[in-house]
Amino acid sequence: MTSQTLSSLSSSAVAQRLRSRQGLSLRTGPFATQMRSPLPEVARSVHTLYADFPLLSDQDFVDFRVGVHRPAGLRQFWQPQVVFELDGKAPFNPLPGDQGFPLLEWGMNWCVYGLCHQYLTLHAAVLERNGRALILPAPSGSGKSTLCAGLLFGGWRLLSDELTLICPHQGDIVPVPRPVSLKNQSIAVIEKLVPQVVFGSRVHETTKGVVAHFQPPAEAVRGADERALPGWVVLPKYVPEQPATLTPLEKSRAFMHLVENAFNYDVFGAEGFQLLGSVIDRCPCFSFEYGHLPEAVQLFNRLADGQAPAGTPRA
Amino acid sequence: MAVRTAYQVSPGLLVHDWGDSAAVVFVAGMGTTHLIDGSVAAALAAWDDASPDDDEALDAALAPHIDALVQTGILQERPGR
Repeated sequence: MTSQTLSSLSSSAVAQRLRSRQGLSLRTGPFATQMRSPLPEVARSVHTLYADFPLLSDQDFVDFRVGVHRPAGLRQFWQPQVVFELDGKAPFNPLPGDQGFPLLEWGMNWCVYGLCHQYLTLHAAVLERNGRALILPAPSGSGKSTLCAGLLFGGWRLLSDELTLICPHQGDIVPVPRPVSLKNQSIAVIEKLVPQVVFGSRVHETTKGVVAHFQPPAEAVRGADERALPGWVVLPKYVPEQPATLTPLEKSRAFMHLVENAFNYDVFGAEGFQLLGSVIDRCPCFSFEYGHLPEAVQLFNRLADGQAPAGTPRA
Repeated sequence: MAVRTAYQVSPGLLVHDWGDSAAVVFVAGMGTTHLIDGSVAAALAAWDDASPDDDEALDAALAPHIDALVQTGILQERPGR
């Protein structure tokens, strides 16, 4: 592995590498990924959003060989599409032609949660502060990604905005920081809160509405080898105008939420039951409603600093 | 009695009980996980804690709870020790 990051390459060099047979290989947390795409908009987003990621040489081992390109055929001339490939095979139906970069990101997520059963993987954002990981399991539309974005600019380290990887041997959380995905109104909320944030292109009319990714903080990428122990399990929900409120949640019910948000719990059998039990053992568990992001961030900072809000148990 | 957070009632039945109104149970034979009433978990823990000499009395106390788990489909059959 070289010590270079992608930012050492010009945008044209990134585009050229992505078009080449060897592709462009990057380290993303514990994984090495080779990307290929002839699409200029994908090259622009990769160059911008992966700027701080370690660049791998063509000789380095890679876990995934992924690509996004336009399928052949007449359709490319009147209604172009994009297709995701892993090892030359297309596991999904094509999407509209301007969704190349989101498709690449969704496909890379799928590679992790669908194939990497060395970890128990939750659909959850996860951030670290003072060595402890805040796990935010929630379905799409709950405000999880917005809260995650607010926290990572409010003193927390991003481990992942989508995938919580739990090591079955140590029981700790393995970081896999990547560009952070936001949808619809959340994009403007974060732009207003953090004007210096670097966004890629907005992509309209996806199945999730308007989608945009932003560049993860460089320190999160550099800290990708620093695991964290589970510290809190919090089920977030955005409710307009709602004051930020943490409500203690019974551990048994929090456990079931982790099961429901796990991608591969079934693969682990009894080991998965014991592993999630050990996570819940360590963590105070809460449900959380919020309507204003800055207030939510302040509340979590107090929680992490041991100043539990009234009525909540101390960590 | 202190709450036992994790125990194995039988080779195929694992429990996490944090003393809440509910507990979670893993049925190895079916690979399924269920939320069960906390009182059932307490009965399972007492059964697991007991010496073999107490089996008869505890089995009798546990029987309705086990029957309820069987009837709701959480267990396919009564567990053995």
